[in-house]
Amino acid sequence: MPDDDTTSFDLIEQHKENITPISSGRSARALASALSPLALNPTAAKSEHYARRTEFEEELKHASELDDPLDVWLRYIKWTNDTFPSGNSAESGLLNLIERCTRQFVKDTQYANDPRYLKLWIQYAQQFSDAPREVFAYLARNQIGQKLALFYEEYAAMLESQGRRTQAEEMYNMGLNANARPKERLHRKYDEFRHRMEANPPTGSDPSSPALPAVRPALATKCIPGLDIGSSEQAAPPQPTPKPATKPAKQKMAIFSDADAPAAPKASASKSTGGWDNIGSLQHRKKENTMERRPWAGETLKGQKSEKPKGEKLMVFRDTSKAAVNHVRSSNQTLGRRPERLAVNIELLLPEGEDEEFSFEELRAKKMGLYDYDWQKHREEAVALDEDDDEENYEGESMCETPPRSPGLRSRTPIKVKTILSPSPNKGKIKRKGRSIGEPTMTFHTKAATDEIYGLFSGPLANAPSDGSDSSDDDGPSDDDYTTFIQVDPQSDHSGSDSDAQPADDTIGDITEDDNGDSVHSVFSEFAFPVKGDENDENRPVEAAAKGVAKLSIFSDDLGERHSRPEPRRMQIPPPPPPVDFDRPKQHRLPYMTPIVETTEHLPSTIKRDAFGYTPSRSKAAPFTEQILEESPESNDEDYTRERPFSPVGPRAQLDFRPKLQPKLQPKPDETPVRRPLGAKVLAPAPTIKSLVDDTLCNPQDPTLRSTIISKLNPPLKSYEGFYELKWKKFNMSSEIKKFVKATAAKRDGGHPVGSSRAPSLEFVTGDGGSFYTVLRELGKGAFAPVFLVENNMVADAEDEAEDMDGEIIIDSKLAGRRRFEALKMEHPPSPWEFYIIRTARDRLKNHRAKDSIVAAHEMHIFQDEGYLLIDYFDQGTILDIVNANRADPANISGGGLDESLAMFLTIEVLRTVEALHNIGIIHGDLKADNCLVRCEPTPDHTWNPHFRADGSEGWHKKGVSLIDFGRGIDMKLFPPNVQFLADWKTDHQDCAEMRELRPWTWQVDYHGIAAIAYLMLFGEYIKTTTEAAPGVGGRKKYRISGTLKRYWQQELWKELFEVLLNPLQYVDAENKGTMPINKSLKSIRVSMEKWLEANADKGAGLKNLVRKKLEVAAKRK
Amino acid sequence: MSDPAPKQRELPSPPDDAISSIDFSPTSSRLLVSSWDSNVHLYDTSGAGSKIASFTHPSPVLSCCFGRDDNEMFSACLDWSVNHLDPATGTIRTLYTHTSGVSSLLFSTAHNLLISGSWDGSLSLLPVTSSTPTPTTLRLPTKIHSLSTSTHHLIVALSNRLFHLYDLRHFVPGNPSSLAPTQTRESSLKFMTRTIACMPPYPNRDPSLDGYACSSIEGRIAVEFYDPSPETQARKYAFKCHRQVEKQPSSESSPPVAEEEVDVVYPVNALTFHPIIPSLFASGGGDGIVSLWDGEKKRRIRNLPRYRASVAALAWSRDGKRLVVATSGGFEGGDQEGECSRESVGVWVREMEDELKPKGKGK
Repeated sequence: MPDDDTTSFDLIEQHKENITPISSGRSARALASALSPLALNPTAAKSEHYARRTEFEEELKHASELDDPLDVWLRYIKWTNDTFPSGNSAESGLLNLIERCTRQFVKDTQYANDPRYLKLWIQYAQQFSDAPREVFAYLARNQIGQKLALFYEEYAAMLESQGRRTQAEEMYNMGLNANARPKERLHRKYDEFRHRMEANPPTGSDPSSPALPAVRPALATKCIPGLDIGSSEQAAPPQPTPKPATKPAKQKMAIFSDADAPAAPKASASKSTGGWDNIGSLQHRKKENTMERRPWAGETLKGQKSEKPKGEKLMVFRDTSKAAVNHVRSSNQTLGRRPERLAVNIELLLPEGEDEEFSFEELRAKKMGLYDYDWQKHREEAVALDEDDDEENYEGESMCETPPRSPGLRSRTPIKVKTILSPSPNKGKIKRKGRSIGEPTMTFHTKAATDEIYGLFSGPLANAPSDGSDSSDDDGPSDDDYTTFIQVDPQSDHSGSDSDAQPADDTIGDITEDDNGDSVHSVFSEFAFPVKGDENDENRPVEAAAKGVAKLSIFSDDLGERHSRPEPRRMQIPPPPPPVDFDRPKQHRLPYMTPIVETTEHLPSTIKRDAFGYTPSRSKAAPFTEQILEESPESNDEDYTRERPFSPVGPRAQLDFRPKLQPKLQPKPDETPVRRPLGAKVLAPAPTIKSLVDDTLCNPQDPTLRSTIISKLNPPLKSYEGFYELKWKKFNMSSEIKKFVKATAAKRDGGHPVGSSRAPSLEFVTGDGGSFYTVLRELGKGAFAPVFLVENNMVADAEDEAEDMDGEIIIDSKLAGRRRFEALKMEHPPSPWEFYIIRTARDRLKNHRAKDSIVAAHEMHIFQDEGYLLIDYFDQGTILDIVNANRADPANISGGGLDESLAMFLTIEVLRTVEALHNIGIIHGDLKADNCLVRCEPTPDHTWNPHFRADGSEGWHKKGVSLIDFGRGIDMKLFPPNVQFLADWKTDHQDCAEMRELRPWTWQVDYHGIAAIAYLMLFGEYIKTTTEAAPGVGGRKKYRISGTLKRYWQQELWKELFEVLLNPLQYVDAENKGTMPINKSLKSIRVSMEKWLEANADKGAGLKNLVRKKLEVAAKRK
Repeated sequence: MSDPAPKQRELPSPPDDAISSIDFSPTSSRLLVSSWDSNVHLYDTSGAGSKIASFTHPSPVLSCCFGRDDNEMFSACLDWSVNHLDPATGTIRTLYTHTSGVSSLLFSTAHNLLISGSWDGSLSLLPVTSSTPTPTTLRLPTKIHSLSTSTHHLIVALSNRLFHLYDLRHFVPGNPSSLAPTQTRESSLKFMTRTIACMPPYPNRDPSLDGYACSSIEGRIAVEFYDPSPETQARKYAFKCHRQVEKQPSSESSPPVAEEEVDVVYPVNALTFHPIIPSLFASGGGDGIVSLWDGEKKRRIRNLPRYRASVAALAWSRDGKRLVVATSGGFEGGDQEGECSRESVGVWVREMEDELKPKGKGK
């Protein structure tokens, strides 16, 4: 062929993606001619197309007179194909054209077996139809192409590609039986098919239904008049006229159905089609998705959305030569089928790289972190921890009918709390391989265990304590004895609160007898802290003694302490707590106000309880006795970090200290050497504290650091009394509480109460009776967590009961130290950090007077989403409130601040407390006036000496502050001795110099805090400092307060105070260690102040009066 | 048309977390529900339904069942234990433990056997009449996911699509080797096995048509038969189910197609045969749909109105007049994080008398 005759492929090359392949091939010339004008001049091309199209349409109008009207169509279609190589489009109207053509001649016998016509149909079926099989079936029913081999070949090929090989085979057979022509070709194709089949035998899963399904009358297509013949003049297929439809009897959904208006059904000429009269155009078939034409009256016009004709997907251009041969054209997806996707996360179920598959249950267990968990070990540990405890441990086992301890609970049975240590902030992660956290153990709370112990003394227990090691056998029958978390003992009655009452009774009985602690005093003094001067008095020997009273006192040492107070005996209840807004509490006979000393602090006892000698000697007792006592908070010049070896004493003494253990000191012999000794001066024989953290420079508020610490704690948090953790449970009450608070706030402000004004109840289900609170109002919003006033329903109920009983008050030992109204701090995400700090602080303080000045943490409930900390509630306001009230008071003469003696009194209190904290290694971290609650117990006048007593005697110990908000607390013992901290948060004048200047800090944070408090009290303003260079001191700059001390104040005292507090590093020399904390210096200042106050307090207004007037009046709440 | 009595009631006080299994009492209208909230809840389904008690365990409970009567109940937990629950005293007594979570538990009434299967591949059988709770334990090659029994048959569905078929008449307590599988089969479904259910002993049924139904996580159910003969085996079949059409954005980046329809395929979490009507079984899927199937005619009878969360378990009452449907969210329902909200958890009791026959007319 001469070169110029052949069309250069270059012309076509550029557009090849846009060219729809045609099985019969395209004329290159035509393509070239089509494509070039397109590229050159679209507008001209368009008009040309239009012209030609009109020509064709004209022809079609007269086509019925022709011998071969089909020819017109075919030419028209061919022209369309040539002109619009990209196939069907709005411009080309190819689909429409083919539809018109095919529908046109359905009934026309002339073309029934015309291969050209059939080819059109096949093209339609393969390229455009959404249900090709249906097309073929339709053709069959209408006797189209039944004599043509092409029909059978195409259909069979299509079936084969769908995997329906049986059906495909059927088609071939049918074609051969029908003598379709050309027969040889059909035969040949059939053979090829058979070859393919043999090469790849079909599985049994082929659908075996007939290829041409029997027509079901129910599915009879409705005759659509107006669609068929006679509509060729319209370019677009007309909308179907309304027709009656067979509606389902109950139409629950708006199933599309043709409208109801009846129309004359077209007489169906060929009944044999049995309903396959027509197959409908594509648009008709999809009519559900288009709205019918209706008159505009009353119609709402929706925003227009361009509707894409369905079934037309972008056919990805494939430049393959085989495309033509492959009958099966994957035009859309798998030939009209929708793609599938699994609803479930298959990567989780069948992880890559692993052979193992995991069921949903396994995944859920992994998500909870319980999949790989060694439950056997867990059980063993639990048993060991609480091995004597055969008794029923938790309420959950009892049926609903027997209500759990506290009557107020709903009938929904409490869920057993499993306190598994959950340090990780990332909840919901699937799997934690190789748990790095401490081994969680079952929490068998001390109360129940100690009940057991009481039982031991009060009478033989039904179940003898069993040895923990029995339960190591997996399948063995030991589980009968394996009583850790099941109830076995039918004899011990655990329903309701009776069981607890029983031993408790004994306890109380004993204590009342022994209220006078004298006899025990001496026992204690052996290992009491170094008795020095006033320290001794502060030591509360009496209360300590009372603790030693009995074996039983452990549990109720709260009661013991309470009773041991000189004045209030258990029977004499001091006046009730100050009134609360909404409800006046009844006169309670329970001693609420007395127990300033938080007595429910049953400290974590890693050491098994039996170490105290209840049961025959256990090896664990030995290491335990060595290091029971930690440093004495009172020893002035001693190294507080030094352990004091505990001189072994008899069981009784051990008992006393049991609750006050320093568990962290307990070194396990098999401990991995992660820890290092804390200080250089540790006495050799005593076991030393090892720091849990190795960093010497870090941000102490870092949550990761905290979680790590918590996870490494020994004993673990979950063994702390009052600590409950349900890692996987969502408590989900924060929104309800917030709503309620909002609603009540609105109400109070006189607004409309919105939302629920029903006080939310919080029910914490634990293994030992649970606790139950009702939120009353919000007390304040901390930086991270709101605090609410709640009513402790258990206490409330007990009180009410007690009232009724009108006699001996039997305090449920569990409620010892608890009050009717408490404070609830809610955090999310939850963190037990504050709980840990408070407990540790109070732990280490033991009997120190300062312990009174640290708020107590009663319970901590940790859930997956929220955390709830229960602490004491004081309603006398904070120092900030006092200062504010003072400023607002017109009678105020001392300027902005408080009276000097009052300020000094409170300063002394704060100094003492912080000193004590520092001595035991705790930094508060956030000392400020609003974190100091006023703590002034009402005191009968005659017991309170107007003369200030620095040692707290004669009523003075009842007056002071309570420090709250230990959220920023730091336990220095966790860190190496030379650790320094860095603050990465925004700072202001309320923060110490080092923080402001981005220098590392430790104890200074508290010194500055004390300075800030003192400044506020004196000046009524927030502290401001200045620097001044003091060349005499080697050039180190000093910090000074900005305010000027009043002339009539004790300038020397205050000067010294601020000097030391603001420049602590310059006073370290005076200390033993030569480093901070500068307790000595602080103490000396405090002592000077105390001396002054003692000498001068009763002058003038008198401190007592001031305290009474200013502090004891409940601060006005907002 | 609508009947006055409510067709379906939701039981009060549902569990707080996902439901793992349910079991109807053999003698009364009581129902046991075990849950990931570590409880086994006992309900009375008569009347409006009420909760009788909850038994709190130390760990999530994976399975539960009644024993011979209402006084005997058993639970199987994540903490490896198999426990006896006493409704009279509310006590939980651990009978024995496996060395991994106990995924399935059932009671064979014909043999008075408590049978438990664990992820450690151990299958334990304990005659409840024995004096000591020492089960006979068989070691199977892989993890056990599901168990089903009917009179003498026991089918164990293991991981990797393996089935073991046993005849309990062979079992001699104390002798693990007495019970060897009569057949081991690979599931005809290509995806992970989800659950299995044995056909109950229908009277007058051709014994060769005795078999079971099994389901996979890929929206498919297969009905198979015990008889290993080729003719019977040829009659087994499988079908697709529990798929919902959803629109999702087309994955192709080319703009013209905004959305395409896809079939979202849900796992079939529950299968249970009707106790009386032969070949009628119900399936519950992650799509929240319960479908009723006619196994003989191989067609679906109907779908129940969609429940608000994935169907976790199904159980027929003894007289077959009521169906209990338990739903809870999680991985099974398509939640990629496996979250189970409290609202998703529910247990319904549905009157089924009118719904067991196929619909009168065509669709």
